[in-house]
Amino acid sequence: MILLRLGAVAVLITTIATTTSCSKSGGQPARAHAEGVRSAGFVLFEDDAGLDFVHQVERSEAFRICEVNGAGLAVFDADGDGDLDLLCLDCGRYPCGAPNRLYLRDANGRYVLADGGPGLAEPDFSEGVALGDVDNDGDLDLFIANVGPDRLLINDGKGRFEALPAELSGIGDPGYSTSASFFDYDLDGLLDLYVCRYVAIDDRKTCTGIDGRRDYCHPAVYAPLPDLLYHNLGGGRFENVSEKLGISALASYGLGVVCLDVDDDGDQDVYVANDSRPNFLWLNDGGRGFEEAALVNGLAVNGQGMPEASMGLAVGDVDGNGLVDLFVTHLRAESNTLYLRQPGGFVDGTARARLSAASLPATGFGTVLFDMDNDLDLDLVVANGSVGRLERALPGATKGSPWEFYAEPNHLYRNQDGLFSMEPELGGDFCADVQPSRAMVAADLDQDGGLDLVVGNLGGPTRLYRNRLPVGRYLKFRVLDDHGRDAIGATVTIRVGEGRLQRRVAFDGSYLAALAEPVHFGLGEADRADQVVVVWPGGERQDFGPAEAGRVHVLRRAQR
Amino acid sequence: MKFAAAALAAVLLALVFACGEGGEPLTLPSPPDLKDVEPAVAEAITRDYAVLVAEPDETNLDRYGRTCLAYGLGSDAAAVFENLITARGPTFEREYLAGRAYFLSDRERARQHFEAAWSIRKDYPALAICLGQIVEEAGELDRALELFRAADAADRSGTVPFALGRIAMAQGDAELALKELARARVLAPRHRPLLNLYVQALVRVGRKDEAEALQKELGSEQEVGATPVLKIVDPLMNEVYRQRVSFLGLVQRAEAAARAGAMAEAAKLYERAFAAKGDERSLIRNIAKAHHEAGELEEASVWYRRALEDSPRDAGLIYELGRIEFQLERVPEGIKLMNEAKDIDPENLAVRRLLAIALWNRDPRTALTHARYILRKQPDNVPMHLIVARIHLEAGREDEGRAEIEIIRKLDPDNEEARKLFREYLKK
Repeated sequence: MILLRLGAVAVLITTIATTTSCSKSGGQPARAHAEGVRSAGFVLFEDDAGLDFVHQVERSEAFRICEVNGAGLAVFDADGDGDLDLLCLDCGRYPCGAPNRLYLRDANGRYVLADGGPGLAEPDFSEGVALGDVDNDGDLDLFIANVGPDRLLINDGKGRFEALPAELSGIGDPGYSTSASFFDYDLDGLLDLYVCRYVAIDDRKTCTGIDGRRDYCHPAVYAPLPDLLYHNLGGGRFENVSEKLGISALASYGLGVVCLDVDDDGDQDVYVANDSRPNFLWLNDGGRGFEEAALVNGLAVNGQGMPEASMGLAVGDVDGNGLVDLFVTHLRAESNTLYLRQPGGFVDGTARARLSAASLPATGFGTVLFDMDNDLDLDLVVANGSVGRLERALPGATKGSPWEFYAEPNHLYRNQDGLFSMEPELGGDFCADVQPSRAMVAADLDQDGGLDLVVGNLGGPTRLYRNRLPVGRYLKFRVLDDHGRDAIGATVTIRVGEGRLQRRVAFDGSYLAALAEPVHFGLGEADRADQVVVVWPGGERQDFGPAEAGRVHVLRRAQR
Repeated sequence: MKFAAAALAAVLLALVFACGEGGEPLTLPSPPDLKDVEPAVAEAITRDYAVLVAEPDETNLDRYGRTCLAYGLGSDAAAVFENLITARGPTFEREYLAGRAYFLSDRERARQHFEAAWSIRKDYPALAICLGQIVEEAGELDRALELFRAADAADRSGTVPFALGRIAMAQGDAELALKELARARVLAPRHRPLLNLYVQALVRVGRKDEAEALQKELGSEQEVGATPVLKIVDPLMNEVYRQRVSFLGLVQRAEAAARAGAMAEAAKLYERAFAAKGDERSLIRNIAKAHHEAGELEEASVWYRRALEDSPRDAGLIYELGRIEFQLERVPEGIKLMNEAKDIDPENLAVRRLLAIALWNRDPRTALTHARYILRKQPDNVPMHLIVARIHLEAGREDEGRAEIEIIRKLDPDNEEARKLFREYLKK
């Protein structure tokens, strides 16, 4: 994060409720949404939904970089009742931390703070989260990436989580972890884990913005950390194979990660968004090792040859050529970057897609490619928020908040034939809110077929935006492997008339966030997909025939 | 300058002023919002704004706009240049600087101004490159090519072939990209972003071994913050920016040194800041004062005299210079300066006090006049009573002298000077 003109201000070093001790105090009630005319598009509804989570983080006089990076969230069915619950990560005061909060969705669509079990009650300075069924017992477990020892939390199936001791699980690295992803790199049927790591925090480092005020340092001031790769041995045990498989050969400032098959060889590769350094593309050699190959594949730097402050990641085929593209968010004054996949590799297609200039005034974090109106193509949202103090607070920022000068409006882009246009009116409250936003996912919370948005804000409330756009038809797929587990790494392709749409089965992406819900396709006017094909991890292809619109289909892998 | 006063003056000036050239009226810009701006920056901007309010003309407005641009107040700068464009008509400089003011915050408006500048003048490579970059970002690659090519002949930095190469890459023409990037590489052989694209281009044309060898040679470390635009020739912006970076830092360091009491160091730093930005005349007083407080009287005298060139009727400045002359024992010059200050500001008691002290044995009558003037305002001023007493006693006016000494003894019974004077009188 290159801190441009971003001084920090002593008078704004106002600490917040949980900052005076390492207590396990709870969150504050969410601030009511400002009075006024509610817009169409994505409409704020957390007040109605009972969500009262407010992210807690102290702005210390040390200006530790972890304070400004925000905390993640996860949307998934924690208690197995079929709806989407919400896990909000918290930071508190470094290094004490704060407990993370699990909100279970009840039958009325309200989010109720739940006892998430002892694993979530422990105070941690948490940043990112990964979802995956690590023990193949049919429920989703959690990896919490902390500034401090990471945690692996096992779900009892009812939404109560227990931390596996590091001595048992092999997971508990004490460094600064950010985003993470569960994926099965060696196709042994067990989910392995990739963990991005950021910097070695050093309180001796002090920095100022160009206006001379104290502010958060550029990450390059600190030593970078190599990422971690854990191999799932079964029984809740993991082996750190970072060195053995080549991951620890390079250190950088990892913030975002997605796992996908970039080279079409049937195994899952890893793409890492690095802050201010070239991104990594770890090509998986069939589980035998990983080779970094981002530059030669056109994914390390932007079209100007520049490494950027990469943070959030979104995956999807935006131009309908049947190849998966990657979108990466960046700092203010850098554009976000759309890497379009072409037969020879990736090219920077940001300008051609009209995504360049619009993103320059903001710092993007969480991002999602999703079909917001179910019109078949993938639209784009970006959660924005500065990492350095802006010269002036933007209109609409929360007055008096310690993060007032870090708040920026979010962006929503509509995709029309591969060209994106910024559409704040369609964005509604999502675009009108001016917050220092960080993590974000798009999920069909109310199961009406339209994807809603969940946004985590630095030092502010987590917000839910209901999708009130007129949406076309849709269908969803729960894609299960032969263990009955979500088939992370599979791809689903549907044929609608002459067109083909592709989505991956994945819980990773965006920034510090995780989402586990059925794979969603907009169908436009069509009442069914004419053909559904799944390519399973390893490359095996299975044809499921047609599928009707408006429901969730379960696609099970044939027994091998 | 007090900013509040400037703001008030701005309001009183009814927001519109004419520039004395018979042109359209220019609008006085709103006072800049400097609430959270670094003090040194705020001071620089406030000063120029105050100058503009005091002398609202085109020159000062233009200067204020450039200052805003230099310090990153893009919207304020843009408002100024747009004001000038509206009232005085478009010129290349106004349009270009307005474009630069919007360059980071509003690409669309930046483009409008750059396009206007381009319609006026097409031989300014930096404009072609800036506009080309915006057009490239907008995905209009053919137009971007046209603009970059317009700057090609003048470019010695590699910027243009680099741009041509990356556009060719985006257009899928790896062969052309490689050719252009190779040309850029000759001009900028160590520019890492260029080399990154060069590696990609090698891969795309099937020269993988070369690509891998080059990548290995380059290593994994990348220059943080490397600019994609190489060092292009841009005299206009260089002029604007030259003032800023070194100037601000030096002023801040000078202020810190002054706060710490290291006045000689502060004076040196202020002088360096002044050298970095020679038109910041207000620094001259700081330099003079710092030298003065450091005891460097000759230097202080020189800088105060420079300050007087800008403000010849500033009684405060003349007084300070006079003090220095007295300290340097150049009393006649000091007296001359104090008399000048007194003529400008007859009620300045500090000036009259120094005159009374300097003149009591040279021109007792005049000294008495000054001392009495002070005593009318400050009846308890013991030193002035002492001077009056001494003048009376020296002149043989014993009663008046004794009366003054009595006053002093009442005001300050332990005053050693008065006792000494009284003893001298008794001896006589």
